[in-house]
Amino acid sequence: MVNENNQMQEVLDELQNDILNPELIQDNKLHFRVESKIYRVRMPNQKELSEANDRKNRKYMELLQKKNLDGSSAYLMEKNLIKLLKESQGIDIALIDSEVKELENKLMDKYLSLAQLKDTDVTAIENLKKEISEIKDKRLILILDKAGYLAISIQNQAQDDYMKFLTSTCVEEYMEVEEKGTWNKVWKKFEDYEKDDTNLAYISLGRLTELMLNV
Amino acid sequence: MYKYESTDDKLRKLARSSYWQNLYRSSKECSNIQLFENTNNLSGIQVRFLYFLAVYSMLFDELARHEDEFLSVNVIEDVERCDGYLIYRNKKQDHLWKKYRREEKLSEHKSRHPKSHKDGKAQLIEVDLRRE
Repeated sequence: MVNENNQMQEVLDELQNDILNPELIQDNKLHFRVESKIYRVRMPNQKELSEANDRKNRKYMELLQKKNLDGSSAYLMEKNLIKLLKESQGIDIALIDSEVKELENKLMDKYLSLAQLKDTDVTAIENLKKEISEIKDKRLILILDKAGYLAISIQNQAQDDYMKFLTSTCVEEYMEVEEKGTWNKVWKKFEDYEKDDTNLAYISLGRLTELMLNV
Repeated sequence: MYKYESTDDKLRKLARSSYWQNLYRSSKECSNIQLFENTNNLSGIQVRFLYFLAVYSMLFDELARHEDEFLSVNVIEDVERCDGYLIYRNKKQDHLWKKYRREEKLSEHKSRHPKSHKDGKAQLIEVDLRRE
């Protein structure tokens, strides 16, 4: 009887969890907490997206035209950066890509083997899942390495500006004024966001990226 | 050991829950059932959630019809096994589609050239001339 009750409670808890945890999807906003304050990031509207795009284009043009003292380009397009990385530092992005591809092929084989196991093959399932996790970790390291090498390209810096601008406009803080809850913009303008060196700026950027799934 | 639960893991857990599966099914039958508070400007997360709702709905349907020996509730509830099953399922469907197309071509050939198939000796052979 005790066991039955426990089991029933577990089922009820699980059902309750299903119903009570829809905050990720219930609307197009994502709530989060930094220290003791509550914030939310909402989806940008058309006007904000257009402004962000405009800013991205201007940044792109600005970086494209910037020169060093000797007249050479201060920033490089991704294609040229890849070439320079290989020539001057021996970092081969194409090789990283092919290593990623190879790992993905291995991953595919492991997944296919895993799919053809029955529930009773407990040990084999666990072993394959461990191998899959190891391959995924290796792939992630390569992907992060590549992203790090290419972060300074003109395209990536312009895209960075795009996301930062949207973050500066879409993050709101919850405040209670005369027992009435209101949501207010955290940064009045983009320049305020740029000056903000607290964790909030970075966490908010991560949250917006997550909300838009623009990873 | 603490296991980090990614956004995708959370979305999948919600999407395969009976509550959301029932709601999803009902919303397909009855257009005035709304899944989210907002009706437009869906977030990336919401779009992904809709994708998972559809995937799990399909898997639960196939499970009910006992379509594949490797599909079980445990497979659906385990992210890695579920991903593996979806890859395997795609390959299987691809294979079945190719087989169907081959049979279709053969029957087309038979109806055009009935004489060549009369003694059962004629065969349709596909040759891949692409370079290795």
